[in-house]
Amino acid sequence: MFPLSSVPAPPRPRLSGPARRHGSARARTGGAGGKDRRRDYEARLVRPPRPGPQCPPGRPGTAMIKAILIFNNHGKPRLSKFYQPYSEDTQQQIIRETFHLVSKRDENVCNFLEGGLLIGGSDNKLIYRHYATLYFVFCVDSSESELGILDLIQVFVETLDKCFENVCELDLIFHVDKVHNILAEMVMGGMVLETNMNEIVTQIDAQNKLEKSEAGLAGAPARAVSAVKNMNLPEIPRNINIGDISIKVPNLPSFK
Amino acid sequence: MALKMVKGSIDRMFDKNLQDLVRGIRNHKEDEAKYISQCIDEIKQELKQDNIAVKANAVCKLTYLQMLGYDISWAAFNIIEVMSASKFTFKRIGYLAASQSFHEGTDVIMLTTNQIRKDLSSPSQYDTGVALTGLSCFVTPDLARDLANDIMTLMSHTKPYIRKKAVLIMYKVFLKYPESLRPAFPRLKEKLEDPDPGVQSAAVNVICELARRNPKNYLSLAPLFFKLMTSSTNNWVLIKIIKLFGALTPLEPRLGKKLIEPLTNLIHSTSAMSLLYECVNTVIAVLISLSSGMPNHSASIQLCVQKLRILIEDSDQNLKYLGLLAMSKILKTHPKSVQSHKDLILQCLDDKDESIRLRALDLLYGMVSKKNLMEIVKKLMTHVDKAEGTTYRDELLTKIIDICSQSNYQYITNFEWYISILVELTRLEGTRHGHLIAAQMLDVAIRVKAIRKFAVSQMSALLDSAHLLASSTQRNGICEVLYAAAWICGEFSEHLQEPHHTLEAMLRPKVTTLPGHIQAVYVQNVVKLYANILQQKEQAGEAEGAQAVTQLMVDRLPQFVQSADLEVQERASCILQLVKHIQKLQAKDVPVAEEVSTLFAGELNPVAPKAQKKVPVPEGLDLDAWINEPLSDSESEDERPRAVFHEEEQRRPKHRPSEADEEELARRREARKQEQANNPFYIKSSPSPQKRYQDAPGVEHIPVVQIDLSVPLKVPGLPMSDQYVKLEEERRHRQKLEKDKRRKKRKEKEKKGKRRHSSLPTESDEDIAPAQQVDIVTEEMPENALPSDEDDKDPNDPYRALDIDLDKPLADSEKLPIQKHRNAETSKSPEKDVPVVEKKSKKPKKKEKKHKEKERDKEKKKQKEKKKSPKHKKKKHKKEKEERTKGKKKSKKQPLGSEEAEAAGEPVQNGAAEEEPLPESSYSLLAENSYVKMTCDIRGSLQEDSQVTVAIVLENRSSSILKGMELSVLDSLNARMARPQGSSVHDGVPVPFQLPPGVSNEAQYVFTIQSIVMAQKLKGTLSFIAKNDEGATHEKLDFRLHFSCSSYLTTTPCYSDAFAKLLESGDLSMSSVKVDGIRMSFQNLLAKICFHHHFSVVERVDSCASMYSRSIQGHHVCLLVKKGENSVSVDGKCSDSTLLSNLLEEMKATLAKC
Repeated sequence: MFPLSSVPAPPRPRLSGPARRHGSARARTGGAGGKDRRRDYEARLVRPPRPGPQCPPGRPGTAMIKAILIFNNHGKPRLSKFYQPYSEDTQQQIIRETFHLVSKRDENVCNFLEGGLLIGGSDNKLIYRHYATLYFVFCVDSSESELGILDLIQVFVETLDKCFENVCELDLIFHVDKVHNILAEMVMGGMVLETNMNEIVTQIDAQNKLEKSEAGLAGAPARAVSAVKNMNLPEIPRNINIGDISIKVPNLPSFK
Repeated sequence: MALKMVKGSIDRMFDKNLQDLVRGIRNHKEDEAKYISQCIDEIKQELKQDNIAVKANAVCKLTYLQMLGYDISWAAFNIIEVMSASKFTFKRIGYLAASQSFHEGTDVIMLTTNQIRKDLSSPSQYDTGVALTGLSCFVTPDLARDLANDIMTLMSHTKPYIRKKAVLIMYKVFLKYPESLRPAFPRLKEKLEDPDPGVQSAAVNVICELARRNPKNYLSLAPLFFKLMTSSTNNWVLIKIIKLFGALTPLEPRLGKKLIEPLTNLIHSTSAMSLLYECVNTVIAVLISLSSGMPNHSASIQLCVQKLRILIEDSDQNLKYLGLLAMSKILKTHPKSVQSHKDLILQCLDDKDESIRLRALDLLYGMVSKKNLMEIVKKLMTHVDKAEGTTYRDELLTKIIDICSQSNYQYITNFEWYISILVELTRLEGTRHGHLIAAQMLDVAIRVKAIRKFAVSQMSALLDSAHLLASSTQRNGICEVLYAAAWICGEFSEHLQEPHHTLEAMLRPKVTTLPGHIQAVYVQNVVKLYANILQQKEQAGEAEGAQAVTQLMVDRLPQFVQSADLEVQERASCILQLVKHIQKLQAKDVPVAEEVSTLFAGELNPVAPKAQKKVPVPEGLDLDAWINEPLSDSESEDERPRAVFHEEEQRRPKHRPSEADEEELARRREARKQEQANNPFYIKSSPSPQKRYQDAPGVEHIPVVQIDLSVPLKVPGLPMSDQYVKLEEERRHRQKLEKDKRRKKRKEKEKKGKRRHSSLPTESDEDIAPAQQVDIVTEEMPENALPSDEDDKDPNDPYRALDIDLDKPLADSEKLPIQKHRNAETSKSPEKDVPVVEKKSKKPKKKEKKHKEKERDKEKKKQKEKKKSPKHKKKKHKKEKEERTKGKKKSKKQPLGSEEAEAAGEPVQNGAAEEEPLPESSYSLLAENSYVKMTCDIRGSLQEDSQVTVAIVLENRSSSILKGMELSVLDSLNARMARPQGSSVHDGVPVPFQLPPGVSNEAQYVFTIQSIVMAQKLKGTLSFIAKNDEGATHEKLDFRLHFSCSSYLTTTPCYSDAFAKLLESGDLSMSSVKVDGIRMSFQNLLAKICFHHHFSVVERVDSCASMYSRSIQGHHVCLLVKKGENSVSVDGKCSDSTLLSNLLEEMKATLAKC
């Protein structure tokens, strides 16, 4: 597994919070081999992207951040948060078209795109970052500072990294609800709520604690069952053969 | 039972959870849709169970499916169930699902109000937090209205975690329920100085966003933000504030001047690129707002440009991009400082990143000048050749055209060059922008008369090579150019060198492969050419030649007649018949050329795209009126306002346009004529003189560029525009020399001629005269077009509603509603609850008072100022005298209260009142003598049932100091003055101030009224000591305080539905008055009633209006005011008949003066 932060963002002084760590030791554990294999693996999974029909113009915007999208290298949505109402179909179209715009860009070009036609108006920008297998895309209007949002994405990913301990795409796949909860502590209704990572992590931890205390004894059997479910024995050897040893072994059987 | 429970919980263990669902979907790649629909069925089963944990699990899975594009709106009710779970774990799942799937159209959303309110007031901060987060995503106008007050309370929560969320969500509340902005704003402002940085940041965030949309209302906050900017260290906050200042400076240039210094300091000191960038941006905005070219700011511009250059040269593409972006802003006002970096920007055109290339192109757009246009376009043309992707190439193409055509071809000095560029661009294969090029060709050929000859020659060459275009480019749009080429050759055929040759080119069989609309143009213009040739031949006496041309037409036109395109076919067959007819005439040797060419005589004028829209609707033309009235089967539902008033005898005559008589017809005819005269598209017999072009520049002005047109033209497709660059240089050189000569000659004669190129010592951009003139005619607009800049405003802009003046004091009606329970009516008439509310939220009230006092102070200041100016003094005195005499006369006739008509008051917040000029204050004269003048205003207060506040303004008009003032009022049975504790009824109440000469001040006294149904009069005396140099004297002034019934009323808005209910309730007694001889407009009349009698208009239909007010003791008063020819009738309904009759009497007195 390779943590998302293995592709460090270009060095830039952070807006707030502690200074950034550059490529920590664990960040380098994800090798290029993993990436390639993953690509092959995922390649089968994905439908060819279809260019959807012309999107209806969005309603007048009321949020500064219009939408936050996370999808992988193949356009599979991993999280979608729209701060303006759109129908499910339109949402999918937006995700598809955004992926279309973002994915064809080289690694070393700028992170801003003026492709915001989908989410109403020329005032909008797409600001994205590419981490390992995932694209983090923020669609924002002109009231947001471009570089500020880039930093915010970085804070977001680092927070995910802290909360999941070596975050990788699988964490987002299986725990999208948790990712939503983390995001809710950073951005609220399209406005930036908190940028200090320590503060965010503190609140998330407190909420998790509260959740655990609520589950109490009653939750124990359910947890046991899900642990058993996760141990899908016959498939483990396959993964060991692949040689991808990681803390996430219980989750691996789901890879096919 | 117990067994069932156990069984349930074991079942639950084996339910799919989210992870299982995800895993399952991944395991069923082949039949994903089928698997998911299976899962949804399971989920539906789970949702039917009573166990909340099962439901929550199901909803959690649904949220995931929603992300994959599945509609989950059917589960909205279940989501609400989960939201109302007691456990945080489930609650969070519910709110997440709601935030992902709810929107304004979700009908069950109204069920959430109480649940959310409960969660907001939950003792657990995370329950509250999760509710706020959820609400921020799906807040509706109803929710916003019902919860605004709860959220406002949370803004002062003890936990900063809640405070910051509450502050942030207020923005959403404001958007949905703009009425909440003013009451909540003071608290929001407080939060700017919250000790917690997160809360502060949230407050800055909200206010910045509000201010960005309606900056002018937030100017007064500038000092506060300025303080924050210099003190804050949080870069997020700084960025927001700096961005906000960028929005504010255009409105207040003084602010800009103050900002420059701290901003430049920040630019120098900060290490955060994001902050640096925003600072630069705002400095630019400041510089734009300040009048440009101020010498001491050139340093700032230099600094900005320097820093931006560093950004652009950075290896980080993001910085490069932003640098270019900011550069383009500077460009608008300080093009010179950017133009020196042209090298850098041209370099960026080679960047591998398309976004950066596009930005650079944008910059180029603004950087061109007459001098460098050719050079820049040449560079761009080489990029066009090199460009790989068609998208980027198309972008280049549009940019070239944009650059050249900007501000009416301002920078083009040589249009032959431009035409050649356009012709060169036609070589691009696969471009989508053929129509753009075509439009440019047409535009230039039409507007630049001098260029027509050249354009025609180029176009005919294009037509000649049309087979090249047509063969390979059927699908790629460049053939659009032929549309323009054909039209130009046809329309300006007199300039053609070899018309016959072109005619043949246009009649080639290949042409039929072109798209229909182009063929249609071909057909039409072939005739124009034909007419031209015919004329030439006839004049030369070559009858045979003429007949040959006709024969050619007759031979070739049938190919168009067979076209599948209707337009082409129709035109072709029509023309074919015409030509055949001509052929017959020619056979008889009848000269026809003259007649044929009159078919196309006359010139086309350019018309601005918005011209039609700007033609005003002629007077008397009602576009909304029915031309044929629809059959009216609904006689009964005519517009009687409310049938509750029994006497409805006055029917207004109905407008029925269909009954138009002779007169009406004549009027319409007139209107139509006028409209035709105004309609630019209506072809008139002769063009009106104003519309004619300025005389085309004489030939001697133009051909400074010597191109020998007799030499066969180069085949288009080969670059020839380059030669113009050279020629242009020569031309300029020559021009300069010539000018120098002229200058020398004219030295003594005149220093400033009217010529365009007068004496500038250095050769500036303006010195380069264009080789041809562009006809940009102001008359492109119809003569009586209305200037309007409201073209682009979007009426649906949600931010418009937030354009609210925040400095005005809060009015009573503006308090946030506190609702205990929802009831059906509330959605219609929110204001109904208002009176209940007022007693509860007292905080804003204090502020209101302060504001009022401030306003009063201002008023006084004004008065003072007036006194200072001696010029006005005399006039004023005269006026005052007049007023006084008037006042005396009237006061004899009538009680004091009616004098309000002449005096003044704070304008009543009422739709009707705003539009009419009304006296400025409602203070009426109480009494006066040589020492002092007393004016007073009586206001009912809603706080206490039966109290009124009397504000008395005392003005010292003597040269003595007035002190020891005491007011003693004789109480009546009904009205008592509120006195300080311990003082007896006969003691005077001291006035809490002294009055130096010429000063006025206000004192307020509260009176308790037992019964308000009758007007009251109280006798009183003001005693005071007047002290001057000569000594002190005791003086007295008697007055009579008149409490009219109107003064017990408070302006209370009322909705029409509530109003109707009130009337239908039947517990109101009724009475009416009628006043004759009124000439005032109805609008004015209503305003007067609103103003003097504290009513508000509920509904107005033509000359009929319903009005409402409320007494301080809660009597409802409803009025129906109807205006007849010269009279006004007022019907009133009130819960107290005495009050009503007294009120109507007072009103009668007011109206009688109208």
